[in-house]
Amino acid sequence: MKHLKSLTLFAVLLAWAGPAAANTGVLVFGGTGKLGGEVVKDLVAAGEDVTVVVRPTSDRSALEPLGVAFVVADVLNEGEVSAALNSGPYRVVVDALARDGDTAPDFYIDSMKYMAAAAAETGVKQFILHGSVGAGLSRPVYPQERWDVMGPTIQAKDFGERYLMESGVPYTIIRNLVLLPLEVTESGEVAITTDQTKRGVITRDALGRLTVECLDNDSCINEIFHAYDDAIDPPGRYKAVMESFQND
Amino acid sequence: MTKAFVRYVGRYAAAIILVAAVPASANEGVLVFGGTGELGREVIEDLLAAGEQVTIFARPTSQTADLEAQGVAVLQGDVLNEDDVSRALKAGPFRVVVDALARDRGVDADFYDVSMDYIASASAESGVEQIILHGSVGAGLSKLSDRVRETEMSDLMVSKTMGERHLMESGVTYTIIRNWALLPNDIRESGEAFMTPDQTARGLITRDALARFTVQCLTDPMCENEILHTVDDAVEAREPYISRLREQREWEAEQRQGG
Repeated sequence: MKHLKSLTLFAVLLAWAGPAAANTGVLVFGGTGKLGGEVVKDLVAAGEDVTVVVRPTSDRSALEPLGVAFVVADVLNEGEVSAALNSGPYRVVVDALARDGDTAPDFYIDSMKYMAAAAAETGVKQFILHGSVGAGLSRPVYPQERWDVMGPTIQAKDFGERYLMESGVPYTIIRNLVLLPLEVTESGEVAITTDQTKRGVITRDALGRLTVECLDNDSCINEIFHAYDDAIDPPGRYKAVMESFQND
Repeated sequence: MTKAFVRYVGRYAAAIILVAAVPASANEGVLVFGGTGELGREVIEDLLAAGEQVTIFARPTSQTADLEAQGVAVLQGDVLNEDDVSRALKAGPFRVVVDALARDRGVDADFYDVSMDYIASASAESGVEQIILHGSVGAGLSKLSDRVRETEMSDLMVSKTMGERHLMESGVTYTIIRNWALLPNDIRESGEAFMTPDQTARGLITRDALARFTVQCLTDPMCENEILHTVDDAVEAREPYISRLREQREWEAEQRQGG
């Protein structure tokens, strides 16, 4: 009888917690950026309850019509990042951050250190990071001519990936090499691969879509992907960049 | 009737196979890479003492007679040859793989990258449950707390970092036991050696302690998908290790004071 009572209580708790857990939302870092904007748009279209982390100075005007929630934090402030995660619970965190031109590359190390730790602490079920080809095992395929300029940034992103992978939070890393301008849209033949030697161009709308496809998707858990769109005809400057890669 | 009978037998056949398979898998042994090296030999001694069935992967030129005399099985091959490594893993099944490899002088720095690439993928394919890697402080995130934080890692640390990556991305449960300053073999542990997930931790460590930790990590959940630094602060060391440690501690004290 006693057991029955506790069982009933358990069932009631389960029924109460179940739907709530299933409905917990997605927290997006970098949501006011060009990539983040696409990601947020697609998440909202997929019916997700989206919260965007913003700085006090961020321009929210493009996101406000989408009906998303906001939480104010500086990603380089450990306490603020922790507070942002604790404003949840969040089921998924998406990192679409890009540093400002005048911010040091360590941005990618410190922001992920804080985000991954806070995500682990608050029981986040999946962390989707938009990363860069050149990090981790893809280092050998990063074009040498770009490494001279981008090296410190790529290395910082590599450390960021490590913080995420070591946090214990199930991760999905979607890397891009050459991100095309916002006005270019995907060809319809976008692909992701676990082959870390793959190099290609990709559009932001495709990355937004891939983010949604990887949401709660077992085949994306603890995986590192390279995203590419081989069928797209990139604008001249980008075509030249891709052609220059073929030579090394 | 016949159908039901077949189903009945089928169910029991499955159960019988299962029962037969369970003890076999529980007895699956440990495959050690680098088993003929200084660290590897200590590891094997402790594995044998713990009742493990040990197999080593060694080059045909390696000295293995003394290990074989202790009941260690030997698989021959070159760890930089993908087929050799794959064949060795298939010779199992092995429950655990231990990597205590150190490259010979003159071997390219990418030794650690390439060897773990092969070991991790072959282990994943053959269903190994855990890989224990003896790694180095200075690889991965521990680089960020090096006293001398150069912008570029040395080729050796890049290689070791890549090796760790191959392991972590393989899907096999990993344990990376890093050492910062490995003391000569004649120095034994103090009894106060410990492992910590704090990647800023640095200290001296002995091979016998690392061997003991290897056996501990076969069953200790703290080792599951973890990177651990090893420190033995009470060990009786000698120069140049004493000076190296003192300089490190002085620097750490300065850091704490915000210097």
